Amino acid sequence: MNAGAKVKLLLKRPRINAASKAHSTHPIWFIVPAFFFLIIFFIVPTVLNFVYSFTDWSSFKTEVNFSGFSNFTQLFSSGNLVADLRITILYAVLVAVFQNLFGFALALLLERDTLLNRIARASFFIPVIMSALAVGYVFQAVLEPKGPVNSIFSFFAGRPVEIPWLYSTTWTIVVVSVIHAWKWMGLAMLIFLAGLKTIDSEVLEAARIDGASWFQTLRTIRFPLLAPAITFNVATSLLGSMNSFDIVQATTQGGPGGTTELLNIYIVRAFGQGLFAQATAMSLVLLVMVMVLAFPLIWSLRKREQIL
Amino acid sequence: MLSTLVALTLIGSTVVAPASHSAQAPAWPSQTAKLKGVTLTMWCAAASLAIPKSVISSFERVTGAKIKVVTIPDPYESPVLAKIATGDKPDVAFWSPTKSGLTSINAKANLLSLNGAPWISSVDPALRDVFGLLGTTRYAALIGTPNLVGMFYNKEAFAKAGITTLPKNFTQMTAAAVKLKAAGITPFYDAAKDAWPTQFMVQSLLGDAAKSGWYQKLNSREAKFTDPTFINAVTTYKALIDQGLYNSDIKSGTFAAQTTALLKGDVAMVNQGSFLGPALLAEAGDAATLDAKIGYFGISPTSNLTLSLPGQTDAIVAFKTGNAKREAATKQFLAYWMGQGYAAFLDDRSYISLQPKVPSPSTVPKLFIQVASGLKNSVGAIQSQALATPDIHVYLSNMINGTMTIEEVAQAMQTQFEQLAKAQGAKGF
Repeated sequence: MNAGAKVKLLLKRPRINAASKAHSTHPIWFIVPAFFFLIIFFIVPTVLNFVYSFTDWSSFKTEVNFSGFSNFTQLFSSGNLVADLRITILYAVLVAVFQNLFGFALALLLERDTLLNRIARASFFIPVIMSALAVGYVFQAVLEPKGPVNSIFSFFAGRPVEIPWLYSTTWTIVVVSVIHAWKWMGLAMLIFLAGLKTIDSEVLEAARIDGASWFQTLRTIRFPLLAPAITFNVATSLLGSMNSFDIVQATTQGGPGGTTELLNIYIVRAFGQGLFAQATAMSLVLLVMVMVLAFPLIWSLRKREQIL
Repeated sequence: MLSTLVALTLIGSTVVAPASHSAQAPAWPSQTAKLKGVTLTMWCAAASLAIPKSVISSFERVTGAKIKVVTIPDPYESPVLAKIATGDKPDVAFWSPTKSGLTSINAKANLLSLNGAPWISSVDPALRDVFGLLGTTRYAALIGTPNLVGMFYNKEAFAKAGITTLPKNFTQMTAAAVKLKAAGITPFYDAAKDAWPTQFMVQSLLGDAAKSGWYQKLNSREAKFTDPTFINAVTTYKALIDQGLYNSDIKSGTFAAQTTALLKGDVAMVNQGSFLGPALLAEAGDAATLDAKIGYFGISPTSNLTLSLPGQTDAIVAFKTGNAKREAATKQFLAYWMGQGYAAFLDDRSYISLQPKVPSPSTVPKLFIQVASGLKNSVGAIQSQALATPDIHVYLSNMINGTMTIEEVAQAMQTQFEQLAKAQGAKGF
């Protein structure tokens, strides 16, 4: 058979394209069990969240009736919701900054695979798997006016030091966001470490041969190449901390004077009063807020990744 | 196939059959009838676990029933309402016997009626119908003297400042406070960190208004929290703080620290509910020490009025679970607690008896008896008289921290009150 005939035979052979190949080894109904759980535990609650926001569901009666937009008009006219949204966003931004700063610093510090570094990395990961409520209670005790932290300061200052860590209407929000960042910095560190390890060693060696200092290598080569890790870390820390509750509830309960009252704390308070529909409406507002922040944020970070 | 059908039919019938029996409300069973194999669930706050322990174990011994106590996390009321909303119900639980408390748990739908209960006729007539009723239906059984709010004071501190007569009105109390401050003792203590204690001074300042029916006017929309009545009360409270008559660490104050400071004499007066009594007793160690150190008087602007403010530790309720056997057993448990098991219960807790025929134990501190006697000269607080209770403690704590003005506190109270009344379906809201 000549070459031309062989080519013609090849062309005539029915082509098994990628899609149908995928269908034969991964039929669509493989996804049904996972989809089933997704629907029951995620989609249905989200839809109900939306539906119940427009009702008058409460603990005072068993009937649930539609009440239109009354929950939302009432919420936005009280001023409480807007103030709490502002505090939540501020908290989220502070957490994103601190968590990634600490995580990045730790990743750089513990980059080399020595035994000490390995032990240190594991130790810094322990807070990540601790219960957030436990972390909150520990710090509440540690930051007492006459607690260990102030005692240490008093010892070095030679006079009694009683910094009101959790009782300042201006600065306590920073303190609680630092606590939150402390808890999760191990995770940020892990992601950054993974990102640092995927940087091609040949690029770094070339830079070293060219005489670039450690800092120059960091700034011009390693940091830009860490863009995917940064996307992940910034997005999860910012958006995840908007849903925060445990740490602030355990340390300040939203005080002092409501200056650390995250939206979730207000929602729990409304729920506790028996106003279920209002609480649901508030959580819907939070959901919308997170989505409004998420799409532009992730889009811009991904764009940055592609450019870099 | 047929065997499957038969099996399914059998299963189906066993599910359907008991449900048809629950339609009938069981009569009051004998207190000591055998209940072998019956398990009841009781919900209890973490701090109140000791209260039902002895009566539960004696009931289990006498009847053979089992009562499982489930601890509900603080602040108790919110998790309970949340659990009920998801369909999770106990057989018996602690709950506030006030009108607003019973409304918030939707008593009509969720609780068993205790009308015709065997112990009712034994209760002191003065206390019998004051709490626990919604309309004409009794839903809650009072297990102890309802929580009463007044002034606990340290006798040694008063003696040191040369105060020999107890204040009879607010002006006299303020004068006493100034004298105490001059003698180097902190007059009052409040706990803005825990927040909930901050409401009591303001509520005491509203005592006279409460007596003259101001809360009824509030419920019928003739009065508002933004009226001078409420604003003046909050202003007076704030003035006391600004004058320096409160503890300097008021912003970080806690209930635990309040208890210790009062007992030690670092603080002279604490405006609190009668549940401070057991906390003081636990720290003092014995009744004699407690009685030597601490005294009590009710206070309002013009007299020694006490506020009655029953909370969840003062009463128990029985739930409609749809299971006739367990509902009957629950009613039996309540009848036993208030009947044959009552004397032993009082002894165990050092509680004052609500039934004239059952004497109070001799171990009850004189302080507790003094506090309980205030019931005769008492008036209901916001929780007892108003349709709903706004988060007064949150707003007052914010005010102490400087993030809310007095007017903002009043406005927040009124807005939340209207919101809760509307959710209840109250007339006019």
